[in-house]
Amino acid sequence: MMEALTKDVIFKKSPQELTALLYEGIIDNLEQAIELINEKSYVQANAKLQRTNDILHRLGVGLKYEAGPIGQQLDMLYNYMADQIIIANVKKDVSILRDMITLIEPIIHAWNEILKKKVNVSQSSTVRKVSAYENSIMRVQN
Amino acid sequence: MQVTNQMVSRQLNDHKASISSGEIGSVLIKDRLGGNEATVLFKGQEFSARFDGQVPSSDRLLAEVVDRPESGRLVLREASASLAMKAANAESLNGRLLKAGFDPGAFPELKDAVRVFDAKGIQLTKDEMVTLQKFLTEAQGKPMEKMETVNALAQKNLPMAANHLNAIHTALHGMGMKDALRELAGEIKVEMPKGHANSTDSGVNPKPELKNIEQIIRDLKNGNVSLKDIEALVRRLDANGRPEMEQLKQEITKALQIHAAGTDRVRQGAIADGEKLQRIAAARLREALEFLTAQNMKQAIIETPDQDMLLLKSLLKDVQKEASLTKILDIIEKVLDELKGNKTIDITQLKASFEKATQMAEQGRELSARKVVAEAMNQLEKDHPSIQKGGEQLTLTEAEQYAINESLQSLALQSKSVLVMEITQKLSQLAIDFKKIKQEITKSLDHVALMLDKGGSKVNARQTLDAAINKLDNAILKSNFMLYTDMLTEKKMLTASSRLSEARNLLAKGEYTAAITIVKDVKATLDQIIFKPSNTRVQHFVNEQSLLRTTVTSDEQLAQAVRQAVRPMPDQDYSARQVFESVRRLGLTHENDAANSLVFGSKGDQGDLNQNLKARLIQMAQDADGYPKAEQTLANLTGQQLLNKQDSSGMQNLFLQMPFLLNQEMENIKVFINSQKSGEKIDWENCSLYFVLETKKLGEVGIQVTAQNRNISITFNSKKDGLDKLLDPMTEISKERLQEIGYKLEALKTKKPAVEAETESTDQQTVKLTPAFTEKGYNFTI
Repeated sequence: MMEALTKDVIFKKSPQELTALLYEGIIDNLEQAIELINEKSYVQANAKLQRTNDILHRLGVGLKYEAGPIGQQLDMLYNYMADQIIIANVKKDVSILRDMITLIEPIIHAWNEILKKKVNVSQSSTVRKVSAYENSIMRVQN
Repeated sequence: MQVTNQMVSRQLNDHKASISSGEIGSVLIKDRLGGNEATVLFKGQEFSARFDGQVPSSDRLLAEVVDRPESGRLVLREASASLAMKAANAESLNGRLLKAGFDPGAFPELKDAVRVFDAKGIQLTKDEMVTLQKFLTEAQGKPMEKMETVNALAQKNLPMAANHLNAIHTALHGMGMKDALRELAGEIKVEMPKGHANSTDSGVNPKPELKNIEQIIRDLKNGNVSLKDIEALVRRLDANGRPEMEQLKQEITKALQIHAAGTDRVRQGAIADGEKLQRIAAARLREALEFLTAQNMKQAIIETPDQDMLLLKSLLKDVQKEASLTKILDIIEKVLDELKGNKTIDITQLKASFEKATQMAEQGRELSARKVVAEAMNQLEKDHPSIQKGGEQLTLTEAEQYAINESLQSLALQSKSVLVMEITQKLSQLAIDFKKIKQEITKSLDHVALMLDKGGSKVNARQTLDAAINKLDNAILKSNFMLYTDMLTEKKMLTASSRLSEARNLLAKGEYTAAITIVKDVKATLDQIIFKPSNTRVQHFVNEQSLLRTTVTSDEQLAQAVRQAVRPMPDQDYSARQVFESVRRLGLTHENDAANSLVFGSKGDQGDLNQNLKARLIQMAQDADGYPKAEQTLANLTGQQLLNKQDSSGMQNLFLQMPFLLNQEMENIKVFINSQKSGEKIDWENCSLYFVLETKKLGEVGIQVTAQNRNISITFNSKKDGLDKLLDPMTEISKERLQEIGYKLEALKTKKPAVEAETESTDQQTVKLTPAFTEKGYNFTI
């Protein structure tokens, strides 16, 4: 059997591409959840929505606030979305989930545009330093 | 409802100790002494009794205590009081039925059922009546069986609910565990232990001559293949005259030789060795034959060498490894181009999914695009099995080869008999724990002896002794020590426990000197016990390896769970612990275990928890909607659990139904346990067990074991003539064995109610006997 995504592939992806995959995961999971709710398979739908929130959480962790105001804003957006999805999950409300999809879609498109243009996301020196520091911290913790 | 239940139970418990006249209870007649005298079991105690009038004809009955003189003899009268009560209730019953919307005339069954609850003092609400009526009309089975189910529910004071009714009904009257499991096995197509529902999907249509070989391989797996078939096959192979075939032929001949050697061994009496050899021979043979089929397959493929197939194969590899989606699409496009001319491979689907994937890629939906591609690839693989990534088959046979080699090696060294000993961290920890417990027990025993010697407080001494006994019992039953001890140590521990309770009894009677000697004795034996656990089984390792070989699907996990649960007793040393483990593997304590692990955290690890059959079944019933059989089996288990709910009366009746491997066939054992309760436990020193074995040759065999203060009497119910003679030789053995663990065998009788001949060897019954004592002390609360 062939998997859609092998570990091989994931390891070769750049951080930006991985983020794109995460975004896509949100849309995918939300769409599937909507379908599942319509089919009344609430258990699976719940799993999908939880997965969505996991992804949102992961995206939030990856934000770099020092890179500019957009980080803050994305953080707020993610939090709002996570809350809404929980509410939708409780109420099994499909319309909220649809709203969430329309909310995230422009961001995904923008992200993909950037990817396609292959903008060189060069890191400023401070950011690089911070991330180097963070990396070592992570290693120590691991 | 619950409040009343508790009150009822408290009342009954208060009564438990003393028997007063006017009391009504169920009586079991054990022995008819002639006239109106009989020995009876009443409230778990044995009495000699005199009946008002004749001794009733049935062995079990409801009786009223007319009088209880000091002499200890009961005067009983068969109770018909309940009949009078029924009449008195009848009218109000009709009224209540009408109120609930049922015409009492139209629903006679319902009326009967409600009456059952009335007799128990349970008032059904309207909803409950509706549930009941629904069950009575819709459930399968005879009306009588349904009534039994209702009776059982009322007996156990369970709330009236549809799922309770169904579960109990399945447990009592549904098909036995064995059949349920077997059907389940049929449905999910896994191989049950010796049930052999063979799966033969190789995915490829074999050539006719291949079928022949495959048949032989299958037969081999089942363990019965005629040598002639193989010899004929070897002869046919000759015709090919290729070198690798020549080698193969040699391999097969070798396997046959090993097999012959094994048969010789068996004849000489070394059965275990011989069988091992035979097994190896079979494995080798199978391997050789499988190689043969693989060869033929390859030939079939090579016959149509196909460049395009290779192309597809490389495509599969590339797609999986390539990180960039655009590159993948490029590759696919190229391949599509090249395949245009090929007629044998259907590329329309690939093309369609390629286009879809391209579209999605443009929208930036890489994941979905990849999914589409993967699906197409899987389809491709399915259509053309030849492009499957090679090597899978090879690794499998390698692993097999390894297993075979290893067992062969250990065989070759057999004259030296190498024993592999493994002491894991867990085991050494166990040893340390055991030492600690041993120290604690001996210390408290010392204390007891000292107190008694010096004439200290007797009450204190008794308490300390009680604590020591409890600790010892816990060590025997609840901890894992017994999993790793040998029979002898275990027996010693059991004897120690029983002697200590003897000492306790003596203490209670005031015979201090005797008690002191026993306590000192036990202390000495305990001191002698050295516990050095180690894994010393060669076979064990091989098993582990075969487990490693394949990734297990949920179906296989189930099969594994079943296999674990029905593992034949002779396979293990039977001990209390092992029986308990079997019960646990069935999942009869699943909820209890789950709750424990929730409350006490990670103590019992999660993996362990999911090992049992019930957990698996729950999982299956949950995540796949196509397993009605799983639900049925599940209902059976739940029903058993419900039936084993704590009784409100002083008596505890347990009913277990266990699938069990007997002579390579899965059979049912039903176990009925009757005992008084002592606290949360059943009083195992005074209980009666009844085993019903469904065996093919004997039909149903009943074995009644009654224990009374460590005196045991055993009765066999079978129709076979001269069974007593057959039993004679084992009477002695049983006596000895029982004495080793502190029991006294009082009588071993046979009775004839049912079934035909018994030719089965006596050892079959020993097998049954031993586990009988092992039910002791289990906490069956669910």
